[in-house]
Parts: sequence; structure tokens; C-alpha cells
Amino acid sequence: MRDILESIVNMNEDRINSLKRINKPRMGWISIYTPEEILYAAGITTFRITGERGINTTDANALLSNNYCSYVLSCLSEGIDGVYDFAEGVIFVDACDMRKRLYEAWTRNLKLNYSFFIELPRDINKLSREYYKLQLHNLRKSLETHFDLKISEENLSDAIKTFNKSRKLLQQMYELRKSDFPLISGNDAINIVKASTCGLREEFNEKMDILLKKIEDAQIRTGKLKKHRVMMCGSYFDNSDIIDVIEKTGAILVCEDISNGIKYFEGQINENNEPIDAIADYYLDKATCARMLDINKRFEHLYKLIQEYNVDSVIYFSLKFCDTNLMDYPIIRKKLNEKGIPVLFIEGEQHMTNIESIKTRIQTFLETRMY
Amino acid sequence: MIRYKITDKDRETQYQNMLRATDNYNAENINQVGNLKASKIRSLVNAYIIMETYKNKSKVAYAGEQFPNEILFPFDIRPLNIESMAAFFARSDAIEKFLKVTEENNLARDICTNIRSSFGIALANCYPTPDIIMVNNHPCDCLAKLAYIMADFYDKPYLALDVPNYLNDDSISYLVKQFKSIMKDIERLTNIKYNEEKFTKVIDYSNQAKEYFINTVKLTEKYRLPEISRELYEIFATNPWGLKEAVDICKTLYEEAFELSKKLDSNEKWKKVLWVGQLPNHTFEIIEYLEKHVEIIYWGALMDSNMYLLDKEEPFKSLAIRSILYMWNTDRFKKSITDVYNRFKMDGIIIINAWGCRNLQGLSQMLRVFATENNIKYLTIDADYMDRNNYAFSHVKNRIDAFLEII
Repeated sequence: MRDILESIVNMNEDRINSLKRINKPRMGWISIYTPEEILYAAGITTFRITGERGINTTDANALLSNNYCSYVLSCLSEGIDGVYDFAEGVIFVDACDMRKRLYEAWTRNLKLNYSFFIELPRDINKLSREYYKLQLHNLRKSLETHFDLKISEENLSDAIKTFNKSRKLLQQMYELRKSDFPLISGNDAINIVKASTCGLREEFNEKMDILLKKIEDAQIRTGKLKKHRVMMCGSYFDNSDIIDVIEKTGAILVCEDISNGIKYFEGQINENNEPIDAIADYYLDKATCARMLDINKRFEHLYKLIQEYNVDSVIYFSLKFCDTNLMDYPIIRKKLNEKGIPVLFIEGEQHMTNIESIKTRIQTFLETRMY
Repeated sequence: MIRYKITDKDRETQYQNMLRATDNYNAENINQVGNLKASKIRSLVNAYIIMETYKNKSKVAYAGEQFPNEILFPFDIRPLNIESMAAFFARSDAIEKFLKVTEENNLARDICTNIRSSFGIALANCYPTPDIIMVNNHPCDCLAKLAYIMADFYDKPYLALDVPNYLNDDSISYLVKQFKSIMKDIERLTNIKYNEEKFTKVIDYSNQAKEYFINTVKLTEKYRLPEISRELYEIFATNPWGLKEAVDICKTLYEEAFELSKKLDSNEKWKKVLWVGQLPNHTFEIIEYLEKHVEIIYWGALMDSNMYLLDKEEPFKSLAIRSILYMWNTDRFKKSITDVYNRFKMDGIIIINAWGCRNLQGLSQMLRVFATENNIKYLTIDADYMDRNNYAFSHVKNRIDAFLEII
């Protein structure tokens, strides 16, 4: 099992080299509200811009601000450093104030052959659905013009099926983490989700099929020591050091309600509806991101996961200056506490520098809960 | 202490809470409203409107910065901008307590202080209970989130106005549909029938006030009228468009500006500085210090969106255009500042980064590039008008002095 798991994890680690080898137009994205299916239907390889290689953000700070979320700054740094020079362009979404300014800074200062900005409503209703659908139709037309091609309904339907398959596979993998003795660690889970965003969609689906079969065979193992179950929620997060700290206390991370976790792959696009409508409905119906207005919907979604994954403690991670998550936190904390669920708030940077102080806080929080 | 639901929603109680909180209000500041008659009228009108919002019989809507209040006035709804109210409380010592209470309730200090203080004032139950909350996304994510939180906090309905970032036929049409839908929702939620005649009157008042406003701006372009310039910003900040009183205020201001312009010594030359960013109260030390040395022109009042007149034939369409023009956008920002800079023959720009304002922080960096490319002298200041933990005048003063020497 380990071999195939590592092979998937390596897909993520090797993402830039793999993307460079692909002989198709490639397009980066920064928000999970990007309708990748439309791009895929146009024959474009889509990949997430992760900011992993943008450790030194000095130049990005100069174009935006020191007081910006480190994920946004790291993404721009990668752009400045030419990490994605192989790509045709980037799709931006109005996912927060800082990403709006990122779009402007990126398109004005760095050369892109193609970019598109999607307006994303904050409140979901009949009118905002119509408008979001219009945005997606505009994206389709824009891609058709830029690449001089036609995106057929059949292309869209096939793309939806391919992405739905990835979703289903990831959902099956997460389902197995509901077990008392999950075989997938928190770091592996996040790396697998990230692997699904590295542009090798078919290869990912094939490997996941194999992995799931192997996990299912191995999952029958049981043990005597049931671990303390932790959920992570909040901003963009992929810090393996923090997960190591959590899991070294003897606890286990069982669920991540973040964009590198469940928020990316939950639900399915309805394959029987008109494709663009179905894509729009899918993205808007899973509106539980902090960027959306409805904190109650976000909380209900979070609480449902807590129950399904039998979570004992929640760690709310917010990137410093991530306004939407910082605004939601007091309300989410209050509502979780009313349900008797303890929460630890961690504020950090994408490329963590103060891991020692965070380590102490996590250890203290979990150890007082566990022993 | 965590307290997320208001139990005592009686506005009389909240009024008493507000009075207690402002008991040590800086009375000296109140008396320094300004020498202009228009400033005094505006201040009295503001005070009257605020007092009315604390009366149980009033219909009150929380509405954020740049919300098109014209759609509320036909229903006799009083819009209350809680962020502006926070600026009012900022002149009293209570502001520190309000900020402290937000920290006790787990709101991060990295959030913009205007939002934090508004949250704190609500937690202290010093705002009047709203009947309805209008959520608009004009200034920032945080204000939209705060509005939603307030709806939850007071257990009141909210209506969201989702303003797109870019001006085109699709975005205008989307907004027009939203306005029409919101009008119906207001009718349903308040049981107040929409009155077309009143709406037409409101649009008319809005334009009348704007015409006086624009003519006053033209005078400040030609003549050194610092108090007038300041008052233009104050009027812009109160977002009074659509009120009959706004016509009176703007007309009075124009007449005063006209009279003052005739008495000026044309040989007196002052350096002109464009102030870009949020404006503190007029007794704030940076302003007091700068005004001794230069003439300050406040850009906010001159924004293209703020000068936009409504079309009586298609009021919703023009409200939609104005709403989109109010959204932060680099191209519009740069164009507007270039235009003002050239028309007013400025000598420099001061960019104020208010703590936590991500939009302005992002835009101001781009403005710096623009200023450098065009050989425009500029100064960037990080400031916080409410939380003294984030700002010290002594540090800022050194930079201001250096800037003044350069220009």
C-alpha cells in the first residue's frame, strides 16, 4: 500500500516537473471556486498554484503589502520567480479582497498570455446563481476565442465525469478515515488532495483506484488504543510540521475542512443537467468557505463533519491577515463551544517560522484533552 | 466573556448605554465642528438622524459605506452606518474598552480597527437594534462579514447587495435586478409600501445635492479653501445622497465657498497635497500638523463615483453604475488620482494605509509605482485612528517633516 501511496504523494511533490512535461496548454488557479471542468473540456491541463516555492516574498510584498496573507504573497512570488512560466495563464476568482488585488498585481506586472477573472457572489440566491452561470458562459466563450476551439456539450460532460470520478475517489478515501483505526495520516491525506490538483487527472484517478483497493484490504486491522481525533479547519493549509506535531502527541488528524481537504472535493456535479448550469450549481451549493456570507451554513457543514468523523477536538488555523477566516472565528468558536467541542486557534504563515511556539500550544491543548 | 446575542433590544436602553459610553466624550472636539455654517448644519442633521435611530418607533437599517441609501429613503427607513458611528465613538475614551471587548471575544487584532470597534460597540449594546441589515461588499470583505454577523447577533433579516467589480452590461443588469428584488424584500419585511413618487423625489434630491457638491469642488480647484475641502469629505463620508437636508447642506456649502473665494488673497500660494485614504477627525494630530504647512485636498470626496449624477429616467441603472464605480479597482483608482492630481495642480500625494485595510494597502503599493514613474512626490503613512497600539505620531512626524522638505 505504501508504494502506491508514495507514488501519489510524489505526484504532488514533483508537480512542477510533471507539468513542464505536459504537451498541452496549462492553466493555474488559486481558488477552489475555479470551474476546472470548463478548462479541462477545452483540452487545458489545470493545476493549483500552491505558493510552496514562494518562500521569499520580498518582491511580492513590494507589489502588494507586508500585511497580506502569506498564501497570496507566496503565489505572487512564484509568479515573479517564473515558476509557472510554462503555463498559458492563470484563472483568478473574486475569492477575497487580497485575491482581487493579486489579480491586478499579477496581470499588470507579470506577462500572462491569458487570464480570466470570475466574479463570485457572496450570497447564494436565484439572481446570484444566474450571474455566476453567466460568468461561466463568458469563461467558456473566452477560452474558445483565445484557443480558437469549440467546447462542446460532450466535452463538458466528459470533463464533469472525470472530475466527479476524482471527487468520488477522494470521498472514498476520506470515508475510510472515519474508522477508529485509519491508515491514512493527516499529511498523507493533504498530499493526496494536493496531488489531485497537480494536472495529472487521469493518472491520479488510476492510482487512487489502486490505493483504495489496497487500503480497503488493509483496513480490517483493529487495535486497542483508540486515538484522539482531531479536525483541522480554516485558511489555506498544508503545513506538514504542524500535522506532525499533532500526530506526535498521539492524536490523529482525521478530517480537514479546508481547501486542501474536503472543501475541494465534496459533492458531485449533476451529470444529468445542462453542463454549465450543473457546474455552477455545484460550486455555489458547496458555499461553506469563509469567503461566503453565511457563517451559519459554514458552521452546520463543519458540525456535520465533526459528527461524521467522530472528532474530539478542532484546530482552527488561520493565516495571518486572512480576514474572512479571522472574522468567522469568534462565531464558529462560540457555536462549537455551545456544542461542547473545544477549539484551538492557531494563527500562522504558510511557510511557518514560529513552529516551536505553535508546538507548545498544540501539545498543551491536546494533552489536556487526551490525558 | 462571550456574548453573541443581544437580549435587551430596547433602543431606549441602548441609547442610555451610548450616552454612558460617550460620557467622557471630547467636548472640545464637538465645539470644533468648524466655522462653516454648512458644517454646523451637517453636524446637527447627523446628530438628529442618529438620535432618531434610537427611537423605538423608527425603522432602522444598518447600511455600510457607499450603500445606495436612495433605495431606503422612499420607505422612510433610516440608514445607520455603524462604521461611521465607530468613528464617532473613537473620540471618547470608551473606544479602548470596545476594542478590548472584541479581543476578549476572540476577534483578531489584525482586522481593520473600524470593523473591530464596530463589533465592540455592538457587543457593548450601544447601537440601536436594527429592523433590517443591508449587506454590501463595497469597501471590503470584513464589512460584508460584519453586516452578516450583526444580522445573526440581533436576530434580524439581512438583504445582500452583491456588487461586481467590473463595469459592463452584465454587471449593470445584475445589479438592477438586485435593486428591484431588494425593494420588494424591503416592502415584505417592513410592511411599508413602496412609493414611486417618493423615490423620484429622492433621486431628485440626490442629484440636486450632487450638483451643488460638484460646483463647490470646482471652486476648490481654483481657490485655496481648506475648510471647504474638508467639509466636502465630511459630506461624502456621511453618504447623505437622497436626503432633502443634503441639498440644504450642499447649497449652503457652495454659497459659503463662493463668498470665501471672493475674499481670498490671490498672491497667497500654498503647496497642495492630495490625501489618499481614510480621513481621521479634523483634530487628529497628523491633520493638524499638516494643515499648518500645506493645503490638503481630500481625494475621497472627489472620487468619480461620488461625482456621478443619477439618471431620473433609469435610476436603478445609474445606481448600479455608481455602485460598481465605488468598488476598489486599480485602473479606476489610478485614473481618478491622475485626473485630480493634474486638475488641482498638486505638489505631492500622501497615501494613508489605515491598519487592516487590505484594499488600500494593495492599491497604494501600485500607486507608489505610478508616482515614481511620473516623478510625483509621495509619502506613505501607516496609521490607526482608533487603536493607539498600532500607531505613534512621533514616528510618523519624522517622515512628514522629510516629505514637507522635499516638496
